[in-house]
Order: sequence, then C-alpha cells, then structure tokens
Amino acid sequence: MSTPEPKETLKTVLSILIALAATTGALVSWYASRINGGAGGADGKAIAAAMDDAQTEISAGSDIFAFQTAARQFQLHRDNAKAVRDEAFRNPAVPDRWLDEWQGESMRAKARGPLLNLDFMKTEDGRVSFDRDRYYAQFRAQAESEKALDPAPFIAQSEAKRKEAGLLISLNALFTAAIFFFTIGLKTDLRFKGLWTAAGILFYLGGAGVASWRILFMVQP
Amino acid sequence: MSAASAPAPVPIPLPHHEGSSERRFKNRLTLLIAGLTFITSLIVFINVRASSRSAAAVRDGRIVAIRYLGFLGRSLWSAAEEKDLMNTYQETTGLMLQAQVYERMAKNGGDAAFFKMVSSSLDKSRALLLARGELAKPPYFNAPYGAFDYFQYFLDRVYIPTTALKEREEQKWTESSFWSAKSDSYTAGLAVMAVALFLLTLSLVIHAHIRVIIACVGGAMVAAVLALTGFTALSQWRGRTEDSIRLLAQASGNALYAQMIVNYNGDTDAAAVFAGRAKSDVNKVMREEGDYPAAVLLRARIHSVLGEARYLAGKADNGRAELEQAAADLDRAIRAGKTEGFTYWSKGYVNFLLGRRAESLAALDKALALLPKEKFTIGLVKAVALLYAGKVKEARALTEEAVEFALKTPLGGDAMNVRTIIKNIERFNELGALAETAARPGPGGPAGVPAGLPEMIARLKEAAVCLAVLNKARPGEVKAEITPPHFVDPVFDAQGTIVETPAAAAYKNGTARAYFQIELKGMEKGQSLVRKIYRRAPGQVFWMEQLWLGRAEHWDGPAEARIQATVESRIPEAGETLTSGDYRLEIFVEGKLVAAGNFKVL
Repeated sequence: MSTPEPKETLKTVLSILIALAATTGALVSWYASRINGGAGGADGKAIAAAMDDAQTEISAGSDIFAFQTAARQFQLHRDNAKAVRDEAFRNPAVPDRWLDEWQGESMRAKARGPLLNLDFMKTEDGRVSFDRDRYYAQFRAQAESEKALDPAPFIAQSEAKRKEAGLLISLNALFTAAIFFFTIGLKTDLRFKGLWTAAGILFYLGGAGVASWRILFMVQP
Repeated sequence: MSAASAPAPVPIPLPHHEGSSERRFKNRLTLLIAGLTFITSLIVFINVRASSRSAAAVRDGRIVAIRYLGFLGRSLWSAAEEKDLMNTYQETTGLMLQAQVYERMAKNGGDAAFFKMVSSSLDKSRALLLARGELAKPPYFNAPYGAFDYFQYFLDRVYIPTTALKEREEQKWTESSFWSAKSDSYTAGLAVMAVALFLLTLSLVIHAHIRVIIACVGGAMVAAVLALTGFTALSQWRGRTEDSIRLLAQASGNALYAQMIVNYNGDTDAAAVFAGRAKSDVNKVMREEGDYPAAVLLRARIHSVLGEARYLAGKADNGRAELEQAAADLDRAIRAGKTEGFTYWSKGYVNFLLGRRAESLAALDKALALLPKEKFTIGLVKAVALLYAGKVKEARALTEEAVEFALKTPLGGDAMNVRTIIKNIERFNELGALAETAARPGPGGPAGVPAGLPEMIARLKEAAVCLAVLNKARPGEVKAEITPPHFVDPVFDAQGTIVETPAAAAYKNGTARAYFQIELKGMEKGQSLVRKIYRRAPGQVFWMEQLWLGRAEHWDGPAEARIQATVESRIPEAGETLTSGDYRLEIFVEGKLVAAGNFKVL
C-alpha cells in the first residue's frame, strides 16, 4: 500500500472540507426553515388573538347597549309609575283609569327586570343606571383571563424567529465563501494555497460556530 | 495479435499551449462556479428575507382587517347607544315640557305643585342623560335647541377611524405584494442560476469546442440573473406614514360631509367649508407623499365636489380650475393603478361638467362595464351626457333601460340617488335656460337647454313615483285631468269657517298652511294620488324635495270633484310654520305628472 503524495492528500482533505461545508450549509438551512415555520405559527396565534379581541369588543358593545337601554327604560317607567301613583293617591279627583296607568307603568318597569344586569347597576341621585365602564372593564378582564387578546407578543415572537431564520440563512454566505476558498486551493495554480485553505477553514469555523451558538442557545423552532 | 506482443500505446502529447489553455479554462470555470455558489447563497438570503417580509405583511394586513371589523362593530354599538340615549333625552324633554304646560294650566295649587315636581324630576333625568352621552357634549350638541349633530359624531367616531384602519390594511396588502414580487423575482433568478451552473459544469466535462458556446450561454444567464437581482434589490419599500394616513382619513370624512351637504340641501357655501378643510389636509399629505394614489384620488374627489358646487351655483368659471384639477388627478390616479369603476364614473362626470363630451362618454362606458350594478345611476348620468352631445334618441333609450333596471334591482331605485339625479338635472336645465336669456349667471356653464332635457326630467319624476309607490317602471294610461293648483289665502270668520278665498300671491311669514284648490276630472276610485313638494330657500341652488310635506294616497272621491287642500308644516298644532322660500307642488295620478304649481312663503 502506497502513501498518497502530499499534494493528493491536500486534495482529499480539501474535497472533504468542501463536502463538509456544503452539508453544514444544508443542515443550517433546514433548521432555519423549521424556525420560519415557527414564525408562521406565531403569526397564526397573533391573528387568532386579534379575532378574539374583535369578538370581545363587539360582544361587549352589544351587551352594553342592551343593558343600558333596559336600565334607562326601567327608570323611565318607574318615574312614570311613581308620578301617577303619587297623584292618584294624593288627589281624589283623578279618574280611576289613572290607577290602571300606574299599574301599567309598574308592570312595564317590572318587565324590564330580567333584562337588568343588577350586578352592574348603580344609583345616582335616586335613579338607577347601568355602570357601563365597570361592566366593560370586567367583561374584557374576563375574556383576557380565558384567551389572549393582544397580538403584540405573538408578533414579537414571530419577528424574532424570522430574524433568527434570516441570520442562519445568511451563514450560508460564510459556508459558500469557505467552499470558494477551498476550491481555489484545489483547482488553481495560485500561490499561497495554505493561506487560501486557512481562510476557508476560518470562514467555515466562523459559520459553524455562530450556527451552533444560535441553534443551541438562542431561538428554538 | 496478442496483448503481450502489442506495442505499448504511446500517448500523443498535445501541443503545450493547448494543454495549458485547457487547464486554465477549467480552473477559471471551477472558480467561477465556486464564486457563483457564494452569490447564489446571497440571493437565497435576500429571497428568504423578502419572503419573510411578505408573510409578515400578510399577517399584519389580516390583523388590521380583523381590528377594522372589531372596531366597526364596537363603534356602531356605541353610536347606537348614543342615539338611544339622545332619543331618551328628547322624549324626556317632551314629557318635561308637557308637565310644565300642565303646571301652568293647573287650577289649584296642589296640581301645580305636583306637575312642578314631575317637571323638576324629568329635568334631573335629562341632566343625568346629558352627563353620560358623548353626543350630548360639544361639539356635537346644541343645548339651547336640544339638537345634536349625529353625522359629525358618526364621522369622528366611526367613519374616520375605520377609514384610517382600512387604509392601513390597504398599505399592508400593497407591502405584501411588493415583497412577494421581489421574492418571485429572486426565485426566478435562482432557477435560471441553477440552469447556468449546470451548463457551466457541463462545459467542464466535455472537450469539444461546443463547451465554449455552452460556457458562454451559462455566463450570459449568470449576467442576466445578476442584473435582475441587482435591479430588484435596489427597489425599496416606502410605506405611508401614520400622519399621512390619519390626515387622509380626516380629509375623507370632511369630503364626505361636503358631498352630503351638496346632496341634502345644496348649500354650496357650507359644503365649501368642509371641502376646504379636506383640501388643506390632503394637500399636507401630498406635500409629503406626492405619489400616494389614495391621496391623489381623494384630492380629485374634493376638487370635483367644489367644482360641481360652483358649477351648479352658476359660477362655472370659478369652478373650472377645480374641475380641471379633478380631471388631472383622476387621470393620475388611473395611471397609478386606481382603475376602479368609481374612478371612471367620477372622470366621466367631471369631463361632462367641463364640456368634454367624448371623454365623458368613454369614461362612463368604462364605469358601466366595471360597475354593472350601478346601471341606473351611471346610466342616467350617461343619458344626460348623451343629450348634451345631441344624441337624443340614444339618451331616451338609455333612460328607459336604466329605469327598467331600477325596477329589477333594489340598489338602482335608491330613493336618495333618484332625488339627487333629479335635482341636479333640473338645475342643469335651469342654468341652460338662464344662459339663453340676459340673466345668464356666468360663462363656462351650459350654453342652453339641450333637446330632450325637460322631457327627461318629467320622465324621471314619474319614474321615481312609479318605482316607489306603484312598483312599475312607467305610468299606465291615465284619463284623469287636474287643473293647475290655485293657491288661496282663506279668510275665516269668528267660528273658524272659511268665508272667502282670495288668490294668494305669497303667504306671509309664519304661515303654517298653504291652501290650494284643484278641479279633478276622469278620476277613478283607488287611483294612486301622489303629491310632492319642493322648496328652494332664498339663495339656494336646488329645488329640494320636502319629504315631510309630501303625500301618497288613493282617490276615494267621485270622478269629478273640486277640492281644497293644504300644504302644511310638519306639526302645525305645535305652531311649526312653513319656512320661507319658493315652493313647488306636483301632483301625480297613477305615476303620471298631471298638475304642478308654485307658491311662495315670505
């Protein structure tokens, strides 16, 4: 068995280095594409949060409208009932039908009862009203406790992942530069072959080092 | 011949220069391929970046679209809540006023005290309602009259914010398309680069002279990819600033207000105030971002409203510069890709007002093709343009087509559209008639009344009644005859009985009812009888239809009759009077305009 000539050994080493750089580049690209997939997932979560937010706002709006209207009409009928009753009992000259009116207004006020949200009623100057600000704050807090309503954190996540994927993809430039330098060492008559090769190794190690650091310690897919 | 005896093959040496040239060629090619791998990795990197930005813009666009829907839903509920609150306020005010009247009418102190207590309680309720509502505060509320400006509230709280959100969404879609186009361009470059690399590698392994040709083709492809990539990479995304979007949305709200004023009451001066505000905002945007197509389109709309308002006010020369600017902006917007049907519709109308018939008709044709559901309105605008171009027969045919279309399409018969078209062409007719007399309002407007215009106005008025009341396109055969209304100012005796009916030249200020007499012949029971009242305030441009004063009923009298009727204010019992101005009464039987007359309230 004969030992290859030193020149042939260098060629073999360089060929192996070229294959290694190409494979590392491919692996890093594959990992970057996984991170990009994760960014897409975060985008989806951001969109879902925006939809939940919109749904919460519209539901709160319709609830507030219904409760507030009921409270206002309740108060109106109660006022009317009170006025009619006061006059009917105070003044014997008022016709009998006033009592019917009083009862009618009382019934109308009572009918509003089921629509009133008593947990959020407040009294101002003897009149009841619906506390819309407190209702809204609590409605929103309740929704927030069950689901995410703010897309911003997901957008930030997605942006970070995309940035990371971009960085990893950009490392391919270092790997291909290394391949370029190895090719100079392999296929040209240029002088300083050792230097070209060393530069290639430096680029390769730089790329591989940064890729390992980001993959192991920074953003996960 | 055996192998052992065969002479060893003697390699034929290539001439020295051929061998070194081959080696050099292969070395250089190998280096080129290695270098291209590096460049390819750079293209992949920028491609991934562009594609990521496109995906992020799509995500943001979707989020803004959802926010738009959420905001719209929430703000509409809030607006409904505000309206409800104001309705209650007005009802409570009515009850309070009633209680105050009863208090004054009370015959004993006890009743007076009771009604005073009721009135004071209702007043407190009103105060609470006012404290709660946003619509109940300045600048939307006019306390002395209890009136609120719901339209301005709607613009500020619903229309302008949602327009801004819609514009942001539009921006995101445009950004996404931009990055996506870039990414597509890089991907195409990468595909070509792969073929080029294959050709270059192929030229490494073949020895024929064709390898040079193959290498050259590969090289040319590489050059093309580099040029395409460089060109693509140089174009940069420039989104619109938040300030521009905010100002644009605000300007859009004011432009809408100006347009509504022109359409609702024809007060061109008031419209000019809002259009002026809109113009100032949009000009600020244009100073910063002159290439903003939405701003160009909005500016066209503002100029168009101002130009139209001045044209209709009989100051066509003052409006011409506005209309020219509108036409220029519309062309610019179309060149920038704003090729929606509404842009061509505006272009058609603006060119019509400028007297450019051919351009107007061409643009309206495009608008009709792009907006087939707007055939009624655009069709009628085109019919008017055809009349002014002297094509009376075509105009009549198109008018009939448009009315038939309106019968089948709910959108076509939109009552406000019909009223707007009628009042505008009535004004064209009036301006044309003035131009033919010494009282010509100013140059630049129509030179005269084109043949067929008065007939078209009458036809459209009949169509409006037929569509709204009879659900038909045209009136049927009508034998009824009605004399023109004779306006009278009755004299009453002490019992309130009319004793004399002298003719009324004009009714005095503060009149609640205008009396008129008509004679009817050939009437049939159950026939539809519609009265429409139009009013023109002093200095007002249009005859505006007064919906409150109109009537639609069925005849229930004899075939021949002489009747006295009134045009009365909405609530004469509450002392409401007819406002000053010129009035016109039109009477339709089965949709046919059979009588008309004018009166005046000083």
